Amino acid sequence: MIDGMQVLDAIQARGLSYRVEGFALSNFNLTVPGGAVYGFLGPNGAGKTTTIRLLLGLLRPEGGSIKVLGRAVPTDVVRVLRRVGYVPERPHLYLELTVAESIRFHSAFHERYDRAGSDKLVSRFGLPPDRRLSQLSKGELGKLMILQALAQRPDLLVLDEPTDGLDPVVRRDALATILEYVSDTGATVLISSHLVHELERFCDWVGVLDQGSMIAELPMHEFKSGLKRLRVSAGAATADAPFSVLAREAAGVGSEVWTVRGWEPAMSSWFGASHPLKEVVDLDLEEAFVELLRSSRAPVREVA
Amino acid sequence: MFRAILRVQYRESRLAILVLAGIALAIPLVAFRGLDLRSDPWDAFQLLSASGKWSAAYPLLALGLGLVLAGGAWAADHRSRHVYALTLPVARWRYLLLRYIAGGILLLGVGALVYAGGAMALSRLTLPPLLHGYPGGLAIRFCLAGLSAYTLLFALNGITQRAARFLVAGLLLLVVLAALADLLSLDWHPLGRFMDAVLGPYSPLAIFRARWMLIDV
Repeated sequence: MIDGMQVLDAIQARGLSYRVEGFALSNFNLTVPGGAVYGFLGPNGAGKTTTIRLLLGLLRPEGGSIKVLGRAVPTDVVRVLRRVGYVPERPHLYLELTVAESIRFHSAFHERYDRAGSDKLVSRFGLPPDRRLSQLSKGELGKLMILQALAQRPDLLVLDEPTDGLDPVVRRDALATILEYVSDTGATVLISSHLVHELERFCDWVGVLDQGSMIAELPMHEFKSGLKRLRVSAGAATADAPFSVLAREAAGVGSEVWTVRGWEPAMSSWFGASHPLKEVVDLDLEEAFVELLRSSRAPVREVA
Repeated sequence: MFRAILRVQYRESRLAILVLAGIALAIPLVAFRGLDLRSDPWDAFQLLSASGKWSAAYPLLALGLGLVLAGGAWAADHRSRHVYALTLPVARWRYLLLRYIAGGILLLGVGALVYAGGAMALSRLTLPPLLHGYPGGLAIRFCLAGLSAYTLLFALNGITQRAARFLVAGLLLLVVLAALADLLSLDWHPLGRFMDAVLGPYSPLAIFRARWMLIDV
């Protein structure tokens, strides 16, 4: 919610362009629906962090427009940042401060900061209030950053690889806390990661970024259900297929494996008797992600 | 918000600030300690001599304090590559101003100790006729010098890498031009003019070259 009105899209980026040495984002579009948990996927170096920094006004785009929670960025970025909790990929808090001081500092900038909630999270995460941030472990620092972002009571959480490098126990704790917050408040989440399986469990939207381009953006159920691996008889033509064939490989004598997108069960009738469909295999998000990347980098791969 | 920034800035460089504050308080006390003051005409000479001997310590202290405060104002943000500062919901100019003022407040604190040290030292002395103590003047001069150094270093420390490259390139160009002018025997001294502009009588740093006497005529 913003100014009493429901915001349909929490983030809208249109025709975004940005260029630094060795990397370019051009004509980039991103839409994060309000209330969604949006998984922002991409391999290392794809441009996830750069995109997030553009969305939060840390970098200025060369072209295009950005709206976050209904307000233009970077023009109105201060108002936007009042409602956004941000967890960057690397610790950004002042390391000279103790945990308690860091919380006091952060709360001074956020009108809606929930001190009682932050106290609860300090004990839940087992953070030592009097210890300096420079003496905290990586996991403790990660938890503190998540705590700070949640205690702001944000309408939008932007998490840039929040659990990267954390051990599984800490990761599970952190993600559970984020999900609790989201289910309590209905906040929107943009979470970037290259750990695909991690996002699979709780994202309802997914955007896949590669080499500065958005190669897919769709609801998670479509992403997962439409991507299949089909085992078919060799030799079938794909020209008039009602789905798109991302990859096509030989698989033993007389068989091929196709990786397809936009698949629906009724489409099995498209395969005639001469080249029957033998098997439909679900792809998990990680496999789908890998296939998407492969197909975007080398769109047509013929049978080996 | 301001108190939070002030606290962070103090935490960042408190050890150096406390050491400099201690020195600021101690200089006037040490300067006149152990003087053999009898009621003869040489009292004034001894006092002026001791005052003059320690006068260079104040501008050095002001410069050091400016350096420490400017470093402390930016250190934490440099370490986080400014990500934290830029994601706080406060306009950049306002954040910058708060950081600058916080350093100024800390500087005033040390300036107050310069005054206190001077006043304490003077309270132990009986000044001969024609000599006067200037603890207030010295403290104000200290604060202004410290503020000049702090402002300059705060700006230099806060500029972007690109701006820093331009600055260094500009200085190098100045050196090259001065060398060329010298080679061609031209009556043109760009480096000298630059130094005059930075340290000349009407520059903001000219205060460092003034008389820093706690006791003077």
